[in-house]
Amino acid sequence: MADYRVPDTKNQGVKLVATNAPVTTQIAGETDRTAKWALLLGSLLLAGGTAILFMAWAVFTVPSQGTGFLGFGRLYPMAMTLTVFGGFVALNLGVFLFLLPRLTGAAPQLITLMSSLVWLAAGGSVAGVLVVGFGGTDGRQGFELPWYSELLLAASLAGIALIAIQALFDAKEDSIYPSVWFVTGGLLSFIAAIAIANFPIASGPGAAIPVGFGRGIVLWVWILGSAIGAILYLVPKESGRPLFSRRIAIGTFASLLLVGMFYGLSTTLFGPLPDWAETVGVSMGLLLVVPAITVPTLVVKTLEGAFDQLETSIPLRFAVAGTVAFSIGALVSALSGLRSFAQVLGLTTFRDGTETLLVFGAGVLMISAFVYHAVPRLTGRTLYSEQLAKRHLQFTVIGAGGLTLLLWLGGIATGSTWLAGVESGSFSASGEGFSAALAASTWSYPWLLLSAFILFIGQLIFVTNLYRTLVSSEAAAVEMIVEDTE
Amino acid sequence: MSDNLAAAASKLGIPEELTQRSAEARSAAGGGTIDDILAAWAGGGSAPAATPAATDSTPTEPASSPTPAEAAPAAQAAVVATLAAAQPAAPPIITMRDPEAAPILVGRRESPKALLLGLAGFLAFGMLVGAWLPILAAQQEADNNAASALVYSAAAESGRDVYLAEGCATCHTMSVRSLVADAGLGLVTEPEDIPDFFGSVEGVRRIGPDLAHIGDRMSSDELGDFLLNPSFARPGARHPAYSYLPSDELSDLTTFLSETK
Repeated sequence: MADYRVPDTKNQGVKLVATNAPVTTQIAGETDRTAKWALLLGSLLLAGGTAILFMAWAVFTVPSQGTGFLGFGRLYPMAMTLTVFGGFVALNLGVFLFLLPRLTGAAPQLITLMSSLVWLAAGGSVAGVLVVGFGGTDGRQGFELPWYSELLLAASLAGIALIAIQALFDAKEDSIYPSVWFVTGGLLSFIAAIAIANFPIASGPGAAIPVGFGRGIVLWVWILGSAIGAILYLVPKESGRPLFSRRIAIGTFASLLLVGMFYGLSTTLFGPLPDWAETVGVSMGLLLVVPAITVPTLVVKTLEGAFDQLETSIPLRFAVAGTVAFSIGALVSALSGLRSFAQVLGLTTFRDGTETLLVFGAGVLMISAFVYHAVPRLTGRTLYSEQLAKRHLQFTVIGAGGLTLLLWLGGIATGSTWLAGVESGSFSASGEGFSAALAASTWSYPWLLLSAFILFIGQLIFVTNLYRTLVSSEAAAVEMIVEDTE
Repeated sequence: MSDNLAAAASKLGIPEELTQRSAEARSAAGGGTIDDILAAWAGGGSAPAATPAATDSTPTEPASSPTPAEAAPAAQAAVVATLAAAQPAAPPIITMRDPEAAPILVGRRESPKALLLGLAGFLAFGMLVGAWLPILAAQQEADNNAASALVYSAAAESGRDVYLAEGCATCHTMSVRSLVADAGLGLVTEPEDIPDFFGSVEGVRRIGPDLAHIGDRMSSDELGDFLLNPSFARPGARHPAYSYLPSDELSDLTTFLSETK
């Protein structure tokens, strides 16, 4: 059995090895093995999240059918929680474990413990989602998992982070690529967000502040930050072009971190929070213009001269589509945080539309790009079907885009109806305006349901393609990192 | 070297700083002087190969051959094996990136300490300014108005748990804003009006009406009837029926809503 080892000058712990060993034994690195299964599990959970989202909109569309205890009020949080705390936890950890050894040249220690913690984090989240389904939530919007489930998740992630930090200090590199900032920052911020959102110091109106803080961090730093870190790795790799600007990349990360901390406060505009807290939220929300411009700049300028590769590279197509979704979502978020917009759109489904675009559009597309890049390299098998991947892209864009547009339209119609009804004196009692607004947007419900179904089918195609890649695809180029036992 | 650097940067279409770092990385991994490598990239010579062990026989993915070594001056050369699972005895086919190509993933010299300290600083700042100070301010305001705070009975407290468990806050808010759009919903919600318990009933979206003063608008009986059979109590209502709830939970939920004034 021939091994080909790359001579290097100072690497003591990790070496690149190419071998003609059978594919099943080629993935020698435990880190890569864990990354592979985390990515696959995350894709499955993502599909599960979109399935429940479809169920939620189905129940919403036809409430009279009777669904027992699984009403929209439970299903919608379950869908978002399974997506964010199940799917994205597994996917982002997969990204993290894939990138860490490749960008530091160091293999994490205690990898068995680390792998166990990955499964514990993902498993704990899924169990927590089931508990939410049975009514075991404390009702904090965005952090519906019961506190013990979130504590387990945070503890698992903290263990992973500690091992990863040790690997950072063991790095054989004297340089840090920007993606490391994004994925490491995303992980640490996510842990902080869970801790803050669960800290029982606040009550009454104060309770909304840490939850808002956490929601912002989860969306902008954990989901989108990690996804951007992933595409800043794969776009240069797929295109063969160097990253356009490291400084802009780090600046983007800093702006996301600032936005993530404060943007959540803008969700309570005109509510009982102190005015200055809202002002901070609005001001920091405007900072979203920065990543809305810099992320597409980084991607487009990096691809400059290699745009023809969009014709052939599936990951690049997903990355570009995700970048477009991110840019639109970030710009709309910056605008909708303004007081003048919030007067009409606040508390309507407009914000849900934007979050749908950012989570199921930008986040899912970017992370899918990474999965399509990484899975063949981790499994040693070519992607089962590029056609299925293209269908996945189309269905995700149509599904997430349709949901976004319909929720935006519904939000605009609802907010305008409330305002117009009150100003004209049409509605003299509360409830009238809501009934009128709901009646005005009833037409959109079947389309919402259809969009959610298309989104789910897209993720089902994704999972099917990955499964078929695992079990029946052709052997292909494999990327290996193994412990140096010499 | 500066001429070669400028020429190489120009030819590769990447900044000089990055070109320099790339050349250093290539030199560390494959041998040869930086100047020779820059000259080769500029088109004036041939760069030393990164590794003599591998040969490029069938470049299946020449541009995207993934390699941590591209980010690593220490482990610079990239090796990708194209293998047939069904043919373990076949000779290995090694594909590697063009040794003369510049690495594409090059970071900047810095310690992980900078990254971690930077992150810790950001997070500490965010926690302090973004979370703790607003919490304390809001808490202080609520405490100052404690005398007028809404007080619930024990049954209503249980009903609040049902409210949260059923996900009512997914569709309803309990907060009247100081906006024209909310005129008619009752008095604007002040900090002291928010129930003093951990958890959130305020909500972030209104798919259904605001419930901040629902107890003023509907009696306990009306609320109970509506929750049991919404479409009968209010024709056309899209509200789900809560007839599956045990009677004590339904009673507690009704009490909570009727005491929310």
